[in-house]
Amino acid sequence: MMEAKYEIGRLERARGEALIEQKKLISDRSRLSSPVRVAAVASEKLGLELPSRADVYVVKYDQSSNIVRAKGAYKRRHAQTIDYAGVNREL
Amino acid sequence: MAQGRLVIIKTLVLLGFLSVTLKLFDLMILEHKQLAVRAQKQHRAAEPIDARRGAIYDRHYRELAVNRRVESLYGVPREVTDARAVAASLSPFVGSEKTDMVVKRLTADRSKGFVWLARKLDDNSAESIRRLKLGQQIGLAPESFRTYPKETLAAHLLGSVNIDNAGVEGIELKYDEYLRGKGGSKVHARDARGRALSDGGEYEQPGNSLVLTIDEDLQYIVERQLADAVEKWNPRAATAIVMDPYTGEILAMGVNPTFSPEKSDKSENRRNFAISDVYEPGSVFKVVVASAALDLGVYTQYDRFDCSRGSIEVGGRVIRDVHRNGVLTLAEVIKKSSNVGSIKMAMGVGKDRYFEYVKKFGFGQTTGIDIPGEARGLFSTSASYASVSIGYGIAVTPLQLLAAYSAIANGGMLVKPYLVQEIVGPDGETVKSYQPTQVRRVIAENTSRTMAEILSGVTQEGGTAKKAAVDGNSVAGKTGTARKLDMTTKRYSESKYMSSFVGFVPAGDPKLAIIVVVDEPRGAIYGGEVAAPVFKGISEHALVYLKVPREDTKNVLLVSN
Repeated sequence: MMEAKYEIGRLERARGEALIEQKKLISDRSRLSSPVRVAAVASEKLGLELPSRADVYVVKYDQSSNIVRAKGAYKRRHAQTIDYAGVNREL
Repeated sequence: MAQGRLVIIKTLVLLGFLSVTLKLFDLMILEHKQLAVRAQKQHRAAEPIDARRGAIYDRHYRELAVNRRVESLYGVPREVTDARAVAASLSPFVGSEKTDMVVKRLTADRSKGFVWLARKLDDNSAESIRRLKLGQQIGLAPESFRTYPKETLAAHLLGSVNIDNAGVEGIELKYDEYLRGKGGSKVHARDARGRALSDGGEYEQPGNSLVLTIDEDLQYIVERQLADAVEKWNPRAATAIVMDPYTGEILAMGVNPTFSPEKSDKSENRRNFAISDVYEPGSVFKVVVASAALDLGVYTQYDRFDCSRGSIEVGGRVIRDVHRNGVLTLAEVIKKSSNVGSIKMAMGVGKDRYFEYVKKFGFGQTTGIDIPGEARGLFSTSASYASVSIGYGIAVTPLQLLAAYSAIANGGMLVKPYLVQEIVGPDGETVKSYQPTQVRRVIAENTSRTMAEILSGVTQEGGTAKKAAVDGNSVAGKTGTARKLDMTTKRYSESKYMSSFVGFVPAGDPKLAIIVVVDEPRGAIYGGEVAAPVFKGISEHALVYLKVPREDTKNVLLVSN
């Protein structure tokens, strides 16, 4: 009986320490994933920025068209930014 | 002789037994109570339980407020021999300005076994204090520290807690009874070495957590756009709110300047301009009279108003248009923001009927949003209805205006804005959930459709807010440029303005209702110049983030197998 009580006490202490560590990790993870921090790192270190409306393309599946036409149309329209975001490579 | 010795030995043994018996009598009968208490103290220890305050999450369960363990410094006055020396050792960590306070607390009552000296120290300070080796004179106790990992993000919404982790502002205050856990202390037995003998019982009741309607990424988009505008126009303050016009869910609410909820400064920056400050809205209010006129069938959007004089006299005051217009249709009155046309419209509707609509749209009443400090605004039926029709003589909050525009956007229903969608228990079970609330119907559905069409014209060629136009989607909205009342002269200021834009996007199928208000911009004053670009910036990034499709065929790539 006494042994069990010692064991429970020890496990409770261990759980308490684990909870403290968990709280710290949650706090650290949230801080690191903050959009303010991510945007700052993305722009300062990687030269990225939030996409504007013009940067976003909607890719629609169309039975009547074909992939060759889509690629050609895309290249004609965006000859200057053909490497943007790797969209052309996917096509 | 031998018998004499025997008698002495027997007497001594008897006396020995007698003294033991007396001592046992003393211990077991006379001093039983006191000794029992002492034994309890030695073998039982009370361990304080710092109940966990519930977390606050955004709508995607991303943490906005959580807890972290820190340590607090306490003193044991009855163990302190030289209070000044102790205070001097601690001063680098608690602050030299607090040395006198430390001495005072350590010497006020020498019999005390516990006094707080410094609460919630940073990890480095706590570790340094531990290395001081001040023995039993001081100690470090673990405590929970409320931390806001996204720093100033959504600070005005979240609010803050005091040193004892009780909510004092914002959501932390409003939902304190749910967030607060139940702690106290857990008493357990311990052996001679001080090791705990636990009964395994749970004595802590952690608080519930909140799931907000806020989207962390949209909140960031709003705050970033506001910060850019503040840098450009150097205003007194600026705010923007993004709401789902159908449900009333607040998706983002930003106020600039902002503050850190972890710091307990009392600055003015803590005021939530979005809900607590009232102002005369100016031209954004013209939608109310237009909605009333259309809803009552007094006018159609094609009825014409002669605005060619460029001014109108009402109650001895001459009210002018910014630009002289000719004859304008009702739709053009809104598109060009004509004061003359709006006042003529109000005259056609009539004061009583017009004011009924002002009330139906929710002005002069709080919206009921679940955050403390909401102002009800100022609206009196004794006000001049001509003035009210152009947004003067009435004071509103940005949130009230957004709720009114949302009614136009969603088909005519006034919805209650709200911030908390769910309260979740410590084990993840739903304690309470909140649903959208329709307050009342304000205008008919076809009136709202007509108004949306009219407001779409404002951001098109010839309108006052071309700078609010969004690439790929139509925007419905209205600009406002209102003079502020100078409280010293009691006259309208020539230099201080409230610039605003409020609207919804996409106009035909609204996903977002947004208001932007800039208080006293410098360098430009017009809502179409100052607030409309902020609306555009928020809308464009938000629509991309929410994957709202464009209404045109630009940037669409067709693919097949």
